[in-house]
Amino acid sequence: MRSRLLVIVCVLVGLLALGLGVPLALSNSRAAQQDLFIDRLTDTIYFASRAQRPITEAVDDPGGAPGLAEELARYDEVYGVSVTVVDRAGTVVAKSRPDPPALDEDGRERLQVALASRRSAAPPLIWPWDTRPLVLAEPVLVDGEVRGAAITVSPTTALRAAEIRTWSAVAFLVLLSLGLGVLVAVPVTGWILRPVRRLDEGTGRVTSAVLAGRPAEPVADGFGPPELRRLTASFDRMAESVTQALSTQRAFVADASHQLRNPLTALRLRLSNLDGHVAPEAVEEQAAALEEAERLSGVLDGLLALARAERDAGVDREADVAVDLVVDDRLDAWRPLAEHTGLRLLRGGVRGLRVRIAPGGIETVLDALLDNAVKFTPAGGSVTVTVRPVRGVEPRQVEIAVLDTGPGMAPEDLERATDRFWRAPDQSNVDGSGLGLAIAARTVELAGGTMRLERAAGGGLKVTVRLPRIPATTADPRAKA
Amino acid sequence: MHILLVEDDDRVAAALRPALHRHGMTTTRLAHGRAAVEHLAGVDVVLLDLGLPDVDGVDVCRAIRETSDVPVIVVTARGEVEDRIVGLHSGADDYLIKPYDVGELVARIHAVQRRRGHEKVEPVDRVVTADGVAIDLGRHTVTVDGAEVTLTRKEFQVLALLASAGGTVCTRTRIVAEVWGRSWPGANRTLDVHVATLRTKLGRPHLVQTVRGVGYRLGAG
Repeated sequence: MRSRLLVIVCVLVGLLALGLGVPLALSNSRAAQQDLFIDRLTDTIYFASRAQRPITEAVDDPGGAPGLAEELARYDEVYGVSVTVVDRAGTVVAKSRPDPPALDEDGRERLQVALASRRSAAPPLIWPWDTRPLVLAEPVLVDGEVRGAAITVSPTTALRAAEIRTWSAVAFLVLLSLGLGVLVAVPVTGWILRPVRRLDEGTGRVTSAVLAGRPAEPVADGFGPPELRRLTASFDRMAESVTQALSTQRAFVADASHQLRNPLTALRLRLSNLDGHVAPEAVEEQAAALEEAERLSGVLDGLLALARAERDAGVDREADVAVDLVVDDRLDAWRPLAEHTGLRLLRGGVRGLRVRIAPGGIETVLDALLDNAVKFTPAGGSVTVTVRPVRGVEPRQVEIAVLDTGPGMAPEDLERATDRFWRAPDQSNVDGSGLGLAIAARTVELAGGTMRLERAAGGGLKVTVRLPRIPATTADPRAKA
Repeated sequence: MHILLVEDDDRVAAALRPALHRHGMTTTRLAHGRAAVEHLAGVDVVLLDLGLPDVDGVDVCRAIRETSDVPVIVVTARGEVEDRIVGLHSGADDYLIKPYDVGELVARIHAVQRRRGHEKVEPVDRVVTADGVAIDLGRHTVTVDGAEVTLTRKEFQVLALLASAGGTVCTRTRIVAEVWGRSWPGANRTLDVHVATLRTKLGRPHLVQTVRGVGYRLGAG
């Protein structure tokens, strides 16, 4: 934006300078050429009238007119302008130097015009790169009859040198004004853009503040144009409402799951109190009611875990965690269940990697992913957890992938699977709160990582989690081994 | 046995009191934490809710500890590890998370009382026998009709926990917490797998009984 504004200012200043400078230089050149033309025209007319007698005499006595030739030679010596006088047939009557420059097409044309008894017209503008001399021809009239012509051939070197000086001066002025324009424009654009820059930085800070649940740092600092100052002030107000709304929502989730525990406790106790007072045919119903209370309690646990994961965002609780220990521990915990349902739990990739995440973070993520994999993979399949470093990405990351041989997910479901309470349409009766993947995704996000769901080559589901890696050499020595 | 119930929620208290009375306990209920210290006379166990409206339950717990040796079980809706640690550091003997099962609560009340009052009475190397299955809690062995059965460590821990509960129900939450140390999404199903394996290995399908919606208990066979 800054460079674009500068370009715009420079183009405007440049156009203005050129618009003024070029006509100035042109009119200057024209005036100089006009002077030269009139000067030469006067001389040529003089020589034409001076040649009246010699021409008439030369007609009677060819080879005469020495007086005229001498005068022409003197003139040529002083001004460097070659003068030739010819008769009607084009035969040279007198010349200022022994070998006058040959006439080019334009010169011959001018000679024909003069012999037709017409006056010279002003020549077209001579540019600095035009090396042609200025040729003027005037008729020699005797008693109103054309008897010959006087031709002057003036070199334009001096004129062109002056012209180059003029153009150079104009170019210098244009550049100077451009420079001045830039000098003025830089601080002005800086002043205009300061609120824009602060807004730009502010949006980034607001995003992280919103994630962390902190109040957003104000962007407005009272500088810049009034319109932009108002914009930054409105932006601050908006950021404040957004962060407030979000923290209210989080507090609500935490409070609600908290407050629901008391009624739930009373409900469970009341149901238990019915023990022994329930008719035999209703015992089943009582047990089912207790199971429902248990299920509700599970959903509350999930909600609270999610609220906690979001609340912890602002708190720097991250630590240096050895991936292997956690992965092995979780695989051991899930193995009995997996083997019971006829699944193999496999571990692949490399060992010895460390990542930065809140304590218990990898456990939460792996539990959610393994829970899904074990639930949906049919007997005889396998679930593979692969840990490997990500190559060629800065900052460095560790990839933990959970791959199963289950039915996978439809492409449109992959997007929504990390939404709260989302369940695959055909799995709505499978046990679970529908919060596992949401909590996992949030935990990964808060650790500064990414979580991606995709369809595996074999048709199963592959969930890839990337977390910030801690190089083995700089690992915190205080970290738990 | 007399229980001092410090619980601000009337409805929870109203549901809990008959449950405790059914287990042969008497109760005094306080809705506020401040007065708890003055009501400790004749109390065998204090059941203290940490989420009290007037004072922080943790402070109440510390205050009780300063004046009395009575066992305290803290009950809370906060289930986080940090809260648990704070609760236990403030002098509580045990920790329960809402919603809890009354069977579990009663078992824990008895457990803290035993530990406080008659620590030496509890035999370390007890052998529990039920339906021809002898569970040696000290030597970590199990014999069925005299023949030793090999169990994994977790399987034995589950069985030992049920055996030491002496026929009262153990909630899933409690078994998972005591055997595995922490809960995870597959914990309940893993427990079911272990119980199924136990039933097969012991050859006694009805020794470990399922109490639907609550947990397991050791049956007579």
